[in-house]
Amino acid sequence: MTQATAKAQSSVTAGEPGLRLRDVCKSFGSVAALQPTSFDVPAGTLCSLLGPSGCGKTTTLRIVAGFELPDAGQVLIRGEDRTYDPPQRRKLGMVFQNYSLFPHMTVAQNVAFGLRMARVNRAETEARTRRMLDIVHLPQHADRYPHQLSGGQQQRVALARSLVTEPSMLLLDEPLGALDKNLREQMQFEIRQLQREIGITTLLVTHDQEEALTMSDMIVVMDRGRILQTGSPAEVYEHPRTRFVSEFLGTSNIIACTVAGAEEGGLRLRLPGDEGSSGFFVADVPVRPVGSTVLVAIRPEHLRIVPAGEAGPSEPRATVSGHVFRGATHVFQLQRPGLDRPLMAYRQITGPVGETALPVGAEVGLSWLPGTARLLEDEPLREDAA
Amino acid sequence: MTATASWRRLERRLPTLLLLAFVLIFFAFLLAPIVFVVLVSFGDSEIIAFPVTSYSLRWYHRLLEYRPLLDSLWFSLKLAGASAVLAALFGVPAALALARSRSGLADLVSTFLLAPLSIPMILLGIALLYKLSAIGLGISFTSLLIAHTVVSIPYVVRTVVAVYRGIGRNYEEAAAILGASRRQIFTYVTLPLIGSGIFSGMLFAVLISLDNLSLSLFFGSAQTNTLPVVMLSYLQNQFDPAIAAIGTVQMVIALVALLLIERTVGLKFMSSPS
Repeated sequence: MTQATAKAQSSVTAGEPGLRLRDVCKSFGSVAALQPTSFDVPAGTLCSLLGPSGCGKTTTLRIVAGFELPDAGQVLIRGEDRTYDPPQRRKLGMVFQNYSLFPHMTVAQNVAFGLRMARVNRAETEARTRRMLDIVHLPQHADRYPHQLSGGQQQRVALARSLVTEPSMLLLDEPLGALDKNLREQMQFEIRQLQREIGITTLLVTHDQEEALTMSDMIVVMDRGRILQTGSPAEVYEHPRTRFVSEFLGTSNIIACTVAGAEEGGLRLRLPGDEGSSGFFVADVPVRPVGSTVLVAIRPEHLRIVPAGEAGPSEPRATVSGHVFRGATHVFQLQRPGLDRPLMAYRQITGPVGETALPVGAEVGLSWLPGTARLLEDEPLREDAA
Repeated sequence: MTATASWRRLERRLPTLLLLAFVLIFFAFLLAPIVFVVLVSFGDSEIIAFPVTSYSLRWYHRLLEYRPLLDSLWFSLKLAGASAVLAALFGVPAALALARSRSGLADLVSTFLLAPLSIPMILLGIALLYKLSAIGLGISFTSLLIAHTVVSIPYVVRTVVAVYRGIGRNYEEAAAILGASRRQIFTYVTLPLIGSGIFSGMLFAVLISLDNLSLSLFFGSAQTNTLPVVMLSYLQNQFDPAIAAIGTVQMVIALVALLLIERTVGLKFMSSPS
C-alpha cells in the first residue's frame, strides 16, 4: 500500500461524508449551468441527482468526476480535497449512459483495463477480473466483444469495469436509460444490491423519478442549476416543498386555496368555490395572512372519492369528467366549479372492476386524510388563481 | 375494369419509371467512356479504335517492355505512399485537436488545413515552386514530396476529424477515470478507435496523389517523373492502346482502394461535409 492510499484511508473517520460539495458552481460562457451548490453524501449511501435535462445534474457529476473544473467551490471525496485533481487520480468508478465499453476489447479486457493501467500484476489482474465477472453473473462471456452482448449484459460489464479497481466512489450517469422497462427494473434492483454489499458511496444522475425513488438513500432534486430539495425518497415524496418537486416526483393536484383562518399549529384553508364551508386544516405550516391565496398539493392516491349519496354533508363535491382503467387502479378526472384544471384521483380496485367504477357525469364527494394535503412554498401564479 | 385498374397502376408508377430511365441514361453516359478505355486496352488494334474487333493482351505486354510507364507508376506509388504517411503524421494530431476544440480559432485552423482542396492546383504549384526555391529546395524529390503532402493533409484531416467526432468523448473519459494517463489513453483507446479513419484518409490521399498531374509537372524531373506526367508525354507522341492499358491498371488500383475504404469507415465520411 502506498503512502497516499494509507493516508486516504486513515482520514476516513466516522461520520466523514463520502462526498462533500461546497459552493461548487460552473458557467459555460454566459450560461450558469450550476449555481453555488453544496451537499453531502454520507459514506456508503446512494444519492440521486434528479431533475430534467439542463438542471445541472450532469454538470455536477462531471465536476465530481474531474471532467470539468468548477469556477469556484470545493469537491471533497472521503474528506480529501479533489477539486483540482485530474480524473485519473480520483480513484473513481463510473458507468456512462451508453456504457462506453471499449469496442475493440473483449469483456475481460474491458474489465481488466483499470488494473492494467495501474500495472497490477498479471495473475492478480486475471483473478480480480474473473471474480468481478462472477459477481455480475457473466463469467462465461469473458471472451465476447461488447457488440455481441445485450444491453443488460453490457450494463453489467460496465459496472464490473468500474468496480474492479475498488474505487472510493461510484458515479452512475443515467445508467439505465438505454434499457427497456422490465430490464430496467431488474437492473435497478441488482445495482442497488451490489452497491449495498460493497458499501460504496454512489452518485446517480437520473431524470427518471421512479429510478430515483427506488434506488436512493437520498435524493437531490435539481432544476435550472439549483438544488430545490434534499432528503430521503419518502421525505421528498411526502413533503414536497415546491410545486416543481411535487410534480416532478409523482403526480400532484395543485390547488390554489384561500386562507380562511389561522389556528393553533396550522392553517385552515378553503377550496376555491367553497366559500360557505369551514374548509380543511393543514398542520405544521408557517403562518400566512387570512384571505391570501396559497398553493396546496394533494396526491391522486390520497384523494378519496365516493358517490355523492354516500358522502358526508360537509365534503366538497366534484363531477367525474373522465375515467381510465389502469389494471390495479381506476384513474378519474374530476371537475369542480372554481378549478380551471381537473383533479386526478386514483381508486384502488379491490374486487370486480365494476364495483369501484364510477360513470362519467356522476357527482362525487371528495375527502382526504389530514396530513396528506401539503402547503407549498411557491407563490401562486396568476394562472392558478381561479 | 381490370384494364382501367392496370392503366391507373401504370399512371401511379410513371414518375418512378421516368426517374429510373433518367438515372440509367445518366450512369451510362458517365460510365461509357471508362468501359470504352477498358475494352480498348484489351484490343489488338494498333490505334485506339472502337468497336474492338479482336482481343489480345499485347498492350499489357507492351507495358512490360516500355519501361517508363511502369517505372513511373512504381515511382508514383512510392511518392503517394510517402506523402500519405507524412500527411498522417501532420494531419492526425491536428485533427485530434480540432475535432474536440470549441474555440473559433479551431475553425480558422481547420479551414486553413482544408484550403488546398479549394485552391487551383496550378496556383498551389506556382506558389510552392517560388517558396521551395527560395528556401533552396527547388525542383527536387523533396519538393515533390512536400507538394504532395500539402495536398494529402486535407484528406487525412477530414476523415480523422469525422471519425474522431463520431466516437464521442466518453471512451476517452472512461479510460481516464480508470486511471489511464494521456499517453495510455491515446495508445490503448484513441488510436485503435480512429485507426480505420487514419487508414482510409491515407488511402484517399494516395489516390489523389496518384492522379495529381499539375503539382508533379512543376516539380518533376527526369528522375522523378510521376505516372500522369509520363502518360501525358506518351500521348503527345503516340496514340496507341498502351495508354488505355496503364489507365486500366490505375483504375484497378483505385477500385481496390475505394473498396477498402468502404469496408473500413465507409465512403460517406468523404462525401459528407466534416
